[in-house]
Amino acid sequence: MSDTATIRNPGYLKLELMIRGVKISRQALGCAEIERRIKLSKETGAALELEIVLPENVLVNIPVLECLAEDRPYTLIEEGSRFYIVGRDEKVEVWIPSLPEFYDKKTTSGVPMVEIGRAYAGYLAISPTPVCEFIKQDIACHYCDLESKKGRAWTVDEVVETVEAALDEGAAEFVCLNVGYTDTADGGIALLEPYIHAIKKKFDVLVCVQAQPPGEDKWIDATYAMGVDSIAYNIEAYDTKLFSRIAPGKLRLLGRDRYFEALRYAAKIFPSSAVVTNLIIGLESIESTNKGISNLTAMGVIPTLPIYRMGFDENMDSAKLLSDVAPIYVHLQQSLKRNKLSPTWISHFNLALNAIDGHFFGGEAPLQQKWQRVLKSKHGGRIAHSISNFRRRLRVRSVDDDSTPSGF
Amino acid sequence: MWLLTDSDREKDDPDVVVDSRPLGLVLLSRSYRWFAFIGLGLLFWILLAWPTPTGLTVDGQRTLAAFVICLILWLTRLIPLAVTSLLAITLIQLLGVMESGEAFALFGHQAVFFILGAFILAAALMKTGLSSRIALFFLSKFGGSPKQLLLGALIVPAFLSFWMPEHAVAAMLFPIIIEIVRALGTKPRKGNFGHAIFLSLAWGAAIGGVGTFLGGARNALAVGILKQTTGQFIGFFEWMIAVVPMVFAMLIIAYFVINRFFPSDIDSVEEAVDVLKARNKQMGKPSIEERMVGFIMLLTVAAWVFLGSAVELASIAILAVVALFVFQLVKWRDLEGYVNWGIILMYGGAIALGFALEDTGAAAWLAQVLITRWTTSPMIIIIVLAFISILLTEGMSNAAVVAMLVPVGLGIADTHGIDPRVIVFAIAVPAGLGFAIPMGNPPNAIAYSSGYIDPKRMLKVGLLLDLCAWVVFVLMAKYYWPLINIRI
Repeated sequence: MSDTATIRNPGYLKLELMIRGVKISRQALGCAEIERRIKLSKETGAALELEIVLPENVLVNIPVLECLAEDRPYTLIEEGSRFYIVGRDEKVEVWIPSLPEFYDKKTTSGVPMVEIGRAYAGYLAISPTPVCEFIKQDIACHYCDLESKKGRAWTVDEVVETVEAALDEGAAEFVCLNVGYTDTADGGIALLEPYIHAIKKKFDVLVCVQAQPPGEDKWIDATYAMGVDSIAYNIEAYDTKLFSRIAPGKLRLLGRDRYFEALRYAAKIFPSSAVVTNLIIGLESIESTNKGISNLTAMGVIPTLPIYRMGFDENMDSAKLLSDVAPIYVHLQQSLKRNKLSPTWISHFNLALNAIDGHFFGGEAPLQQKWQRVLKSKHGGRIAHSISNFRRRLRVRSVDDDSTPSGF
Repeated sequence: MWLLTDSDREKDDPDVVVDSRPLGLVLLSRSYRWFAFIGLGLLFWILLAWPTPTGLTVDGQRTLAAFVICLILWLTRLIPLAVTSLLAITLIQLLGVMESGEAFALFGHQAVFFILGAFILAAALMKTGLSSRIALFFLSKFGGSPKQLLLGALIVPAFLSFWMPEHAVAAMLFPIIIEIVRALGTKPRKGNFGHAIFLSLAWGAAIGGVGTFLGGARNALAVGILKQTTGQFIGFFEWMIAVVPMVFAMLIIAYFVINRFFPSDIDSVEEAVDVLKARNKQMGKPSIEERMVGFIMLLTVAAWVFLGSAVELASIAILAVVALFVFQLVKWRDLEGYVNWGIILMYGGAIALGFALEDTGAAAWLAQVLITRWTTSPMIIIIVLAFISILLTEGMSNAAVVAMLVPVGLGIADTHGIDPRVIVFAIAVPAGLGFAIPMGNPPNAIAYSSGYIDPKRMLKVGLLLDLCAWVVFVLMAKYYWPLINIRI
């Protein structure tokens, strides 16, 4: 494929920007929105991302401080209040959305909300507690952002205030909670329970959780019962050796098999298409990734495909990545279709590519795109939330209902 | 359950499960309750609107309508047993069968207060640790061989169930038995010994529970209904004299059945003895509280046995409870955590409904229609009632079986000149002897939760034991009771 085809196609452009990054021109740096992101990133240490809206409403996020580097093939420029991506002798108009206003607010306890929650194209990401056994035992996962959050746990009130602020201004429609691993039967999900209860009690909002598989399946039942609408147990890599290299803690304390067991079980418990796992593209062979996609989708699990970013691993040959990885998205889309899965619940729309983006690479234009828009609308979100609650009411039963012996 | 054990309250495991069947099926299974309630409403209306049958009064018909609805609710447990009883008492006064004051006053029946007192005493035994000490003391006497240990696991809960609710005994011994089987290296559902010891625990507690008013409060409920409807009474000691020989017989049979179907597959129980010794050591010396509670308990039982004919059993129980508080041996907060108060409501309502059935002649009419139309032989009636009671108790609450059958049985006694006490024995005793199904008896359910019991094997051997219990009961009724002046 030609470079020109690459930049004109929003899917390819997203891929390119994710792989190679973008530098910000001097004029663009003067733009208030971008200046604010850089300032906030530097002041708070919260690695904010530059969110760029590409044609056809395709969203891409790039860490803003990375954009200050010079050695990028693409440049974000500003001309007469309009923004463009320039590179490979082409120029494509893009849009820079405003930073959410709640980033400038503080909680009642005085914590800047930007430190608690980050809005990404419709979902609000929060890691309420930095607790993680992997980090404690010095076997943290590579690419883990929890490691950088070494402060205290946020209180329930602080989290709720942040969610409220984000929802009030329409900066998010979903809440995505992230928790590290604890060496207990629940695997860490119990730490999130008070936050989930409080959020569910106060807001009509869907909640996604990224966690590690619990030791016992009954905690997966409990996770759904406590109000979680979508769960992600990230295996990161399908290849066994690579898995051990990038997730040593996961391997040592849980084992790769446990991830698959838990994902398979969760797919039976959660609504269709609400169980998700990350498969990082570019770190293992295309065949291995495709095999992972096939197996995971057959289990009812939706893989999201975050892209490996150049510079994280010196052994990675990113130059040939683009032409190789594009067909993966088509394969993903076909696998989802074959297994009757719909990727509408996936939240990582702008941090990773997913099946919805597959049509940019030759796949079909999915209906899910429209459905996703409906979900993200105010009424659509409420309907989705009501359906989700109704399903939960139907499916969740107290153990006592079954075990009361006949005798008083 | 009657009492909540420490292990229940400290449980951190999630208490929910997700039903992963197809959504349509889940929806259907969740909505069947509403269809059932609508069906019940219609049935109630039909029973009331139906022309009154010959031999039945209008009040009797109304009481029967309430009885049928409560019966279905007790059987299906669409709502909690206690709430069904509340409904019963409300229905009989709303239908004009009883004045509201009269109906609600039946909640104050002495049987209810006896049960309340007995529960509080049991809670004190558990709270102070005295019950565990007694259990460990006796169990440690049975550590010579696997067979001896099994005998201990059968006899100790049976003995304790004379003085405490049977399920509380099973719950209390459960962690000890778990430690024993783990120490012996027995795996769940593999081998015979694990099976045998948990069945011994469950069946020992159930068999012992029929021996007094304390082990299975359904006994006190049955006697309460008897007193309320006929004025007759069975004393604490009188009950024991009549039933304890059957307890011994059933323990012997259960021991042989368990050893026959689950022959021991281990050679030594040394590790189990070590566990019991370690547990005993942990207990330390008996505290003042334990000694005091033990003394009050002994005094109470003595009073029930020797003063039962002169002083109400309930009054003795309540005085014992007062003594516990006078000596500050328990706190009210402790008791709230141990006693399930729903049972009190359940029994109050059952007594009221039983009285209404008897008072309006509905029980006699029902008995005539269901049983005595087909046979007039008192012995056959007793045999049939005992059989129905054992059969029902495998599927429904023991107390509900008593609440359901005793009024009908008393109706039969009335029309056929059978000693009503025999009817009470014929229903209440077999109602505690469900051995075949985990849900048939609270101790069965507790033992089953260990994971060591295979339900198919339990069903097979349990049915045999059910049959034995039925035969033993009939033999007792025919040959033993006449010797103690209880004649059919």
